[in-house]
Amino acid sequence: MRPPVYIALCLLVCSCRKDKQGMPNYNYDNGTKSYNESIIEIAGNRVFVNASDEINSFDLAGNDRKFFYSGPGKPVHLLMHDSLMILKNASPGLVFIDGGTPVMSSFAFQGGSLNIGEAALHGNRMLAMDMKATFMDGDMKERGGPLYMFAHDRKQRRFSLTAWFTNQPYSDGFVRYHDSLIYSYDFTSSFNRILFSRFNLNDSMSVIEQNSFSFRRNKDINPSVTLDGDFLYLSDGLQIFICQIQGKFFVVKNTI
Amino acid sequence: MKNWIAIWMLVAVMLWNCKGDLSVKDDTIYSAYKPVLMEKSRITTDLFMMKPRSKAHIVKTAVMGNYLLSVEFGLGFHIHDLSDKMNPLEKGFFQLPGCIDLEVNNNTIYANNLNDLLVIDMTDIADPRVINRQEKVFDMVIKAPDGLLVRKGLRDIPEGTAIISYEKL
Repeated sequence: MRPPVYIALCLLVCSCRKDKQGMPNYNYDNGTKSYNESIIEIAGNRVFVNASDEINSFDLAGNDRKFFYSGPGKPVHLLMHDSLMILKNASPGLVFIDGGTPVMSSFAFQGGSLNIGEAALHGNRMLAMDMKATFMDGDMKERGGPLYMFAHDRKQRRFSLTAWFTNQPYSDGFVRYHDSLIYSYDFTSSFNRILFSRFNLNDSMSVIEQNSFSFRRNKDINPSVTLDGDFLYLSDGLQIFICQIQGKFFVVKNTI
Repeated sequence: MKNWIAIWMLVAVMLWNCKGDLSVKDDTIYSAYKPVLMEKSRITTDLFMMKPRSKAHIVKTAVMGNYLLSVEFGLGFHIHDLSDKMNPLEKGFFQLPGCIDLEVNNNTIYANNLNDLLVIDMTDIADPRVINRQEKVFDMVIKAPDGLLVRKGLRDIPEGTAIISYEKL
């Protein structure tokens, strides 16, 4: 047999033996990472619910259903601060509703729509945490986004982006307002540390101080945070940390 | 003739080697969770207080006076008495199928019971009472916590049942 025939046959055999394993195929349900979204909020004497494609409201007895808002985009997360409602839409982004009137349709940054996780209001400033949790890196680390600050002009019924703060390449967390300061809770890439940051609320949005404590976390479980006076209840899904403001920061007092 | 034998032997070896390798490997990473199913008829009726149970997947916490309520993903909510924060007491677990969110207003809770909105009077913490139900307010599609597709064979939902939560495989 001639050498070219051998070569051709060898190539054929090699091609058949070629390792067909490529990158793993992470098959996401509907292409998005599932997060437990807020669907019920109370403001004044009304209960607002995220009723699939629109926001409805009920009186406190659970009657008198009224249509409140729909579109553009499907609301997936509902936040309420005083009379201000913030909707995270599946598309195109954020909707602010101030006193019953939508004031801005959306924000979009860095090639993606702002995927707000948490927000806190302080005077005419609003800080919003961009979760960007739908992004997963090759090594399966969640990639969080920056903390944005918006200026809220209530008279003009307008929000404008004034600053943003990118802390670490991998982060997600929460924003809470307490005692004239904004705290952010930044869950780092190892998912076992919680970082507290206090921010200057000027337009430069600089960090005043930071500290951290150990925090065990399953990456599938969204931590939850409830602030009640000086106490903060922080859950990693499996346990609840009872934290209390002590000096400048929250410290863990007990675990349930 | 010798050449033909050699060729046929090579082809046989080649085919033998190709066997198996030509099949498409399933590299799909499926969810590490499986659905928790419940009969639809029971979802709206099996609401009751139970003994305290372990926490597996807290998705929401809320304060109601001296009590802390913490929602167990799709199953109900734990009740802790935090009158003494150094010595919290577990008061019980209220089973509320499909619950993922609740809000508190004084002694009243607004929570979802899968697709229904419930108003629950919590005046007697040991005996929560549903005082109003608005049906089909939500169109709940509860997904696996890791966002991945559930394995084949676990995806089928028998008629008359619905997914209320997920648990680790």
